[in-house]
Parts: sequence; structure tokens; C-alpha cells
Amino acid sequence: MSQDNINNLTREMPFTDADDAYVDSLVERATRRAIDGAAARRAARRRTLRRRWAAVAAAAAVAIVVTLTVFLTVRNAGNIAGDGALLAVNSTTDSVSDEFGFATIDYTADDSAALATEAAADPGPIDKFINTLDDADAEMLASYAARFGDEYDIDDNYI
Amino acid sequence: MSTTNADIELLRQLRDPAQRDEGFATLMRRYGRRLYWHLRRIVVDHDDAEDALQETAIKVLDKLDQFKGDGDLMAWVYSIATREALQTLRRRTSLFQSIDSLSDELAAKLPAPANDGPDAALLLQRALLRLPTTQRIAFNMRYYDELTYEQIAAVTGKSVGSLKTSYHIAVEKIKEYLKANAL
Repeated sequence: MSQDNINNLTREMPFTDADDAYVDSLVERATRRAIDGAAARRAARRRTLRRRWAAVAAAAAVAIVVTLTVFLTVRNAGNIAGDGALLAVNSTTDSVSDEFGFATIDYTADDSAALATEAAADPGPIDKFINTLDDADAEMLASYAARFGDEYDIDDNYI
Repeated sequence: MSTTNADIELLRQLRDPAQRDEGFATLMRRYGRRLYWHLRRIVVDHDDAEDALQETAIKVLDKLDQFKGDGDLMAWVYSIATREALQTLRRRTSLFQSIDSLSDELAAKLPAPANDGPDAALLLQRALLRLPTTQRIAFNMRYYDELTYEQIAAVTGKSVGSLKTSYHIAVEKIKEYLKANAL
């Protein structure tokens, strides 16, 4: 059998379940479904594109808000640091240290002035007592001082 | 190998969004029947061929923008169909199984012989199913579809020389089979 014999053998297919009319109907159906499907896919692609743009816009909005927040926070922190630096400079002119050794508490000149004003407006009990002493009381206290020591020396305001 | 005048007109339609669907319908009317039988000869089973035809139609329409106009439209459509058919066969195999090992399973899907013995068409199909799949596909396109070797090369990506050799070997194997089976 030569190659020509093969070529002349047959080009028929042994299948009897698909004649030309049936195959044409399959092709027609596949064509219609592909076209309908393509339209649906195009619509889906458009929807996906819209969703992606919306997501990008939302992300951009969040990024802008975050950037602004960070910027304002940093700027405020800078202002607070500036205030702190100013306070530190002022405090060097008028400071009082905690003598108990736990910490050093600095008062500004403004703080000192405020405390002085407060003390003048509302004197402490010792100040009030001293202010109420007359000459007789002073002599009595002086006699006590002569007997018991300097603790009662009215001139030094010790009691 | 060049695109025919009819295909050039068809391509013009396919590239115009307003006429694309109509052009695609024309393309399927022109090649659809041949595509079905090309697929059927590879996968043998009718339902598989119908599914592969549907997938081919969808992919052809989706990928029309990727077709280069200087190529052969029919060969391009055939290459998509061939990939779909091979994919259908691969789905039937396990991970390490070759699609060539499906030959017995595919032969079982051929029609039963008539009472007076198998006819030439059936015997030829049985002989073809004994060939390696890629050789069988190349033989089908040359013998049944009468594509040129250049067109088959465009579909399969193989050289014309190797396709001619492959066809010759396939013919020899078929002759042996037919001789051994009383034709």
C-alpha cells in the first residue's frame, strides 16, 4: 500500500452522531454563546475597572488624610517643643530646687511672682501669729528666750 | 502563506468594534464545521468536542486583538482549537500520565464495527489513535483538513521539514496497521 493508497482510502469519519446540519447548529450555538459571553465579560471588565478606580480614589483620599494628620501632628509637636525650650530658658533665671533630693523642680519667674502674690493674699499661720504680737508679747517671748535659748528669738522669726 | 482576500475583508470587520460580532459570526460559519471535526478527531468524544468548540469560540473572540494581520487567520484559529483539544485530553490524565497513554480509552469511544466488520473509516481512526498525539494531530490536519505544511507549521510551531518526516512516519505506521487488520 503506497502513500497514494492512504490518501485515497477515505476521508469519511466513522461517527454517525453528528451530521452537517447538527454540527452547523452546534457552531451556531457556540457562536451565539461566545458573543453573548463576550458582551457580559466586557460589562464585567467595565465594572471591575470602575471598582478599581473607586478603590484607588479611596486609597488616595486616605493617604491625603493620613499625610495631613501627620503633618499637623508634627507641626504641633514642633510648637510644643518650642514652648518647652522657651520655658527652659526662662526657668534658668529663677529656679528653686527640691532640697529633699528627689527631683529638681524649676519655677519660672512668672511662677515665683504668682506664688508671692498668693502668699501676700493669703498669709500662712506663722505669719499671721507673728503679725498679731504686740510689744508686751515680744518682751514675754524675749524673757522665754533668755531662759530657754534662741528658739524663741522673736527677731529671727523662729519659734 | 498569506491570508486570503475573503479573510482580509473578514479581518477588517473583526477589527471594527461595530462589526466585530457580525465578523465573528461569519468566521465561525466559514470555519466552524471544520473546527468541530478537527476537535472531534483529537478528543474523539462528541461532548468533549462540543465543549472544546465552545471554548475555542470564546477564546477566538477574546483574542482577536492579538492576531497579527500578516498571519494566516485559519491557521491561527486552528492553533487555538488544537490547544483546547489538547487541554481537554490533559484533563483526563493524572499528574505524571502522558496524553499518549489515552489511546486505548479514546479508541473505546469509537463506534462499534458493523456486523460485516469494521469499515475503512473506522479502521483508519483506530490506526490513528495508535500514533503519538502530536503526530496524529499533524496527520489529521494534512490528510483530513488538507492544510499545507506551512499552515500546519503555523498551527503546531514545528518546522515544515519535521512535519513532512512526521507525516511520512505516520503513513508507514498506518499502512502496517491496516495490513495487519485485513485492509
